[in-house]
Amino acid sequence: MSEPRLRADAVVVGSGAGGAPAAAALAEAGLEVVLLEAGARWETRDFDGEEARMLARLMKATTASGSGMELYAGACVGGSTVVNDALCWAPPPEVLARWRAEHGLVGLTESTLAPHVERVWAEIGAAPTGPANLSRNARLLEAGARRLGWAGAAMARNVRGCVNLGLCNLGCPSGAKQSALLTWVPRAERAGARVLAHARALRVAIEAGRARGVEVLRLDPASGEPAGPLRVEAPLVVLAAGILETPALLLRSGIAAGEGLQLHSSVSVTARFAEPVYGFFGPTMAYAVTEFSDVHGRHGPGFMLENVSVAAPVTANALPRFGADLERAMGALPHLARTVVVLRDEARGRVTLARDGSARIAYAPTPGDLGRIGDAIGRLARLYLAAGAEEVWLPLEASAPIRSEAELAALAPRALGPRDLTLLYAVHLFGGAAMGGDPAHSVCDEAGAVRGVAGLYVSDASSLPGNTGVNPQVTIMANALRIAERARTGERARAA
Amino acid sequence: MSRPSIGVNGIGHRCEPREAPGVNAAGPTREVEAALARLDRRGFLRLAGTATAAGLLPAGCGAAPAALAPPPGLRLAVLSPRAYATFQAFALRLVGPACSALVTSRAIDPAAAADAWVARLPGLASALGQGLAVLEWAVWPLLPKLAPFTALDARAQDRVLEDLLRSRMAIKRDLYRGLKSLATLTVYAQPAVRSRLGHPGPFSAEGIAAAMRWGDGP
Repeated sequence: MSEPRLRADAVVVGSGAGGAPAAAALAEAGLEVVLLEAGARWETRDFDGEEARMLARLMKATTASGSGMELYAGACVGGSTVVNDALCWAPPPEVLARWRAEHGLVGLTESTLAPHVERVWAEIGAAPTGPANLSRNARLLEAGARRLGWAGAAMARNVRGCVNLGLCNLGCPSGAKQSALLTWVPRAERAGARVLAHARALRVAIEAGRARGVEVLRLDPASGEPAGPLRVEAPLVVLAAGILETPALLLRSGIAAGEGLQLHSSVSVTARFAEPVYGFFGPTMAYAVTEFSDVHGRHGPGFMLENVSVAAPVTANALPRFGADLERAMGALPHLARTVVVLRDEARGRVTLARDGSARIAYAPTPGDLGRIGDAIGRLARLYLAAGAEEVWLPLEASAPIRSEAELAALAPRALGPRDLTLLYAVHLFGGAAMGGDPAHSVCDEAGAVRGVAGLYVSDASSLPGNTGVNPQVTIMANALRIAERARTGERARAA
Repeated sequence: MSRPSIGVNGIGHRCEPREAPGVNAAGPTREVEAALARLDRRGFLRLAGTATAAGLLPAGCGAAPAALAPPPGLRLAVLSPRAYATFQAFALRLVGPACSALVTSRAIDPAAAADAWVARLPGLASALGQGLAVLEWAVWPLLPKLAPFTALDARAQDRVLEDLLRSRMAIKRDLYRGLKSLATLTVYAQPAVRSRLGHPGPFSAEGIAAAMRWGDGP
């Protein structure tokens, strides 16, 4: 018996920041679109704020060999936009300039991206964070930065009517966060797109050098077990399955991909204050110290410091030591503030296939990256002490809390390995199927078209040739709109 | 010139040995899946498997110490009773006396929560079982000790944890980190623990108001 088939003008794989905008743009241009998502579809009413349940429902994770770094991604309709921290930054001009100079993306300029950025900004309700949404957790970071004379600012967020629940990254229960689940996906559906959840793309169907569709494995919604094959036939295929799955899909389809992965590494520093902070409420992230950034006009070493929620499990996991020491630290939970380092890594990794065809990632920060992480956590400790913290916990396994500048200065210089850190993880990933001007060194051309296969495009962060130095959702969405437009016009021209 | 220290002049770095690539990326969880995946190294499993074949490492069977045994009627999906007991013992030492009291009184059951959690992740269930077996029985040179982890007194168990987290061997620290990730999730995400930490629970209007109050600063 032959497998079931669907026919469409375009099939988009992945419903997050790279896929949902592309699906919406293609559907609104009049194409019949099928949008595939391997995860489930949950709605706002399903988001109850219970961490264990929400993590299990909404996210997936893996680790990188070579470093043990932890990597997270959304695994539901809306993708990582459902579980990100709602932060919005315009694409940094310095990054676009680097991509032009180093990767030959001569057409990728501020002006060519501007209309797409504007559309994204409006669609997802991105706006500066005002005082009503700056928590004590964020204000303490701001206060410390001011006392040290460091630059910083409240970040723009894609929310409408935020009520400060502190659950942005567990599925916003109030519906305030304007994730793709509430914006691009409904927009695509209103234009006629069909969204298929529990549909895992296995490979691109390619015949005579041309994409013909996607071979899919349907998953049982209750068990997640395979429920049968499906083939979605379409002359236009857009891949936006995420940093792991997009390169893996290409590899399973016989297309070389997976090299050049880059990311933002992250660790967190925790501080205890005499007064309550209640850092588990308020926007999960809202204020950034930009002093040490190397984008948007800054010339620092390349990291940002962003306040982050003091959710109990992850806070405990990131604190050093165990037993009575951990209990004493966690016993002060309402008095804790926490900030993450967001590092623009220099390192490059790769995605490969395991024997079973699943994606594997190899990545290790460079010595320079780890040195900058050490620099960043030391600076964060100084900042929290300047803000009045009574104790500061560095994310160094087996370390004791710091109570003064003198104790911080007395720390012996040490060489860091990735496993010296209590919790080292990647917050944003890029590349693996990057655009570029040189066919020998890029999977896609500047339009996001996969070289050598007509009708096949990549529109997620896999197509970006490097990290952005800022939270990337706006850049990813704007690039996805640009690629959808180029794909539609390019394929129309090809057909003519 | 000031003395070099973390965060002032930056610090150096010791490169750890590179391992062969190899982590599966599948499943719907976050830190726990990630941390457990790190246990799923071919070398680690080969070591544990070899030890099992050589009779050095029981294959997850055997009676659990009574105080750590699964409660009657609890059906474990993934963990053996011995693995359940080993995880419970690890969690008890990890989280300190107050949370431990909640475990021993059966108010919370991190090992049962871990079993349910990993049951959704068949690819990682074996890694967790192997990791717990190594923690319990020791495979030289990973954990040189003379008795099962669950049979050690609290101070000796703490020494094992210290050995793991301070080790120069990546595999030992991966074992500690993987189990710590699972233990912190299965303990600290419990409402009973949250309330003892002073967290009023999601949606507390008073808590939110206090969190957003700033006035003239700290």
